[in-house]
Amino acid sequence: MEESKVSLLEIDALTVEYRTDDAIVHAVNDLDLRLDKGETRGLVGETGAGKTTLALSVLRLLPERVGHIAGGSIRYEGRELLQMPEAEMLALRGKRISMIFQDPMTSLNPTHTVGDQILEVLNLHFPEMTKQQKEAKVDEMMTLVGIPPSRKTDFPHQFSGGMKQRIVIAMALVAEPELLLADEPTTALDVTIQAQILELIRNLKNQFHTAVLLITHDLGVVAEFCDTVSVVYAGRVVEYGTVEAVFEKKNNHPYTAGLFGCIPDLKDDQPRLHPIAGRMSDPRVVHEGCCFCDRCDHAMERCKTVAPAMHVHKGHGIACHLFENREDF
Amino acid sequence: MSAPMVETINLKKYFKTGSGMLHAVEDVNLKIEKGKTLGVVGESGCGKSTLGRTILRLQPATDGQVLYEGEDVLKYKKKDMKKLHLNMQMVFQDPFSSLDPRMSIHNLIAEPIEVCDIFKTKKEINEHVVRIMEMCGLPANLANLYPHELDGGFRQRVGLARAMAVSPKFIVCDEPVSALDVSIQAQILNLLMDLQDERQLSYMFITHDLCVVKHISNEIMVMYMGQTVEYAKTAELFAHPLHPYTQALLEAVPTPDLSRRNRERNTLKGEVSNPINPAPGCRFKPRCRFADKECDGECPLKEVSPGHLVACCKCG
Repeated sequence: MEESKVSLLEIDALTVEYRTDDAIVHAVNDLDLRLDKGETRGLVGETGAGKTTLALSVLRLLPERVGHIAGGSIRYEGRELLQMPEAEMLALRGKRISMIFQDPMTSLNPTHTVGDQILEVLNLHFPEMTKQQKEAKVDEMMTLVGIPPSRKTDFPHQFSGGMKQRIVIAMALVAEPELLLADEPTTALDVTIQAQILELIRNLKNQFHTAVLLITHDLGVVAEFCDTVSVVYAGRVVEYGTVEAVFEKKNNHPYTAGLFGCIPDLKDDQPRLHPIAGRMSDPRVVHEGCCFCDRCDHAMERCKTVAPAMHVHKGHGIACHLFENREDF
Repeated sequence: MSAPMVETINLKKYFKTGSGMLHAVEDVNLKIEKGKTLGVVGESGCGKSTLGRTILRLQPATDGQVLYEGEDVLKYKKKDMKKLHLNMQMVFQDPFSSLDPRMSIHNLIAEPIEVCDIFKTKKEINEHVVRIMEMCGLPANLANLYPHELDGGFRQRVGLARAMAVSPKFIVCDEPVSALDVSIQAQILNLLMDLQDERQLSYMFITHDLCVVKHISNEIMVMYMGQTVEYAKTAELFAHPLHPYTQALLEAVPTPDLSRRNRERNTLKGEVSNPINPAPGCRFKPRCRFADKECDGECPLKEVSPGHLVACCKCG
């Protein structure tokens, strides 16, 4: 990741707050992220880490009045999204950048046929296409995601969860976007269906050369599906790198190491798991030092007061004081 | 040999639906010994939760027997049910909807104790609630809070505390950690295992997560569309999965392990259908790579090696 090259998506020092009557919730804090053309990056973290907020910020879909982007920048192909007029954003959403939401049961409109819902994307973004061309494109897309086009006059409730997610994917990819934000696309599905859906996204992504930001809490999905990974905790990226470097499990941020310790292994037998002590820190509290220091086994006095810088070695970044002045990781 | 803690014999549960009889649980035979855990694995709709609920008589069984220490609990009269609930309890999947939002944590845990008349005086009940809370890792200052004030991990501890309050010997855990983050999941799994060691509890652990089930179970039963397709000791099942469905499940699990990254994937095609008026023969046949004419016949559960049962006519 060289600084000189313009990436497809560049997020710098993004800070997002939710302002409620009681308090300000710091959902995303000073977050940096890069995504190149055709790259698949996993964004891993637990509930409340700010993963979904990040994706919504990119599309500028944060809840009105409550969600505020307090600072930072989001550039898409070098253009600042945060200052872009809403009309231009509309042309971008769904066409160049699209999103798959977590729950296929609620992200489809129950009163429209699935064919119409895929068609809507084309009507919005490709007014120059003829009706026949659009219908043909819908049929083609449904075939691609493995649903017979004869079912396009069916309504969402007539499909199973896995099939609904296939339709959502068809909607997201029908305009052949350059960037796909997939927010926990398989969390609500069974493992065998999850494997099908991930394989489908992988195949379509290769076909359309789409870059994917895969938001998930499942390190296993990242290991099998992604090229690179960013681990987020309390709205910050605490570690990033290639999947090979991070999953080698030799040099990791204490939080990433903790996540690995929580997962029972299919291969080895371990009598006990090693959970991360304590709970997620309160997002209403601003941390002076390291956001993870309350739960960290290696916490030092300095961690409480000085926020660690990102220490980078060969494209593998770890935001932890332990890795300061270390050349070997 | 003494009777196992819990045993089912040809347990069946059918539901009447508009389009026919739904065979949710079909002839399930299982045995759980004292202090042991049976993992029940399968995808949504395979009947694993229905099985758990039927064993606890939360819904009436269609046919078969459920033996608790050799006694058929399905024959219990209504007045004997208290005895059943003192011995057998359940932890539910969703800690967000299984707790009454209008009851404080203290009252939620005291409720089963009061219902089962374990203690007579208020003081004894209160002392017991404090003990149970401590045992389940709930700080005492939570006692007067309400469920919405707790996070998922603490709520699931309250769910467990409610089950533990009557000191049962057998607990059906229905996906107790599926709704939780991994770091919290690991805490709850450790707690369940510590309680088991301390009190020689038996668990029936229902889950779709093979990593979790491997970690916690002594024996595993794999279900598909209401039927047991494979039943074996945990180590044996993971070392030699025989049924094509078990193999497909194991292959589909994503693991944070780079050596599996470039493996050849045989992704299972198709989806689970409903077991409404099922045809005889193997129910997995439409999705199976190895299926042929032979699979239209009966495929009973056979013992292929000591303690390892498989329902597939292509195995053994």
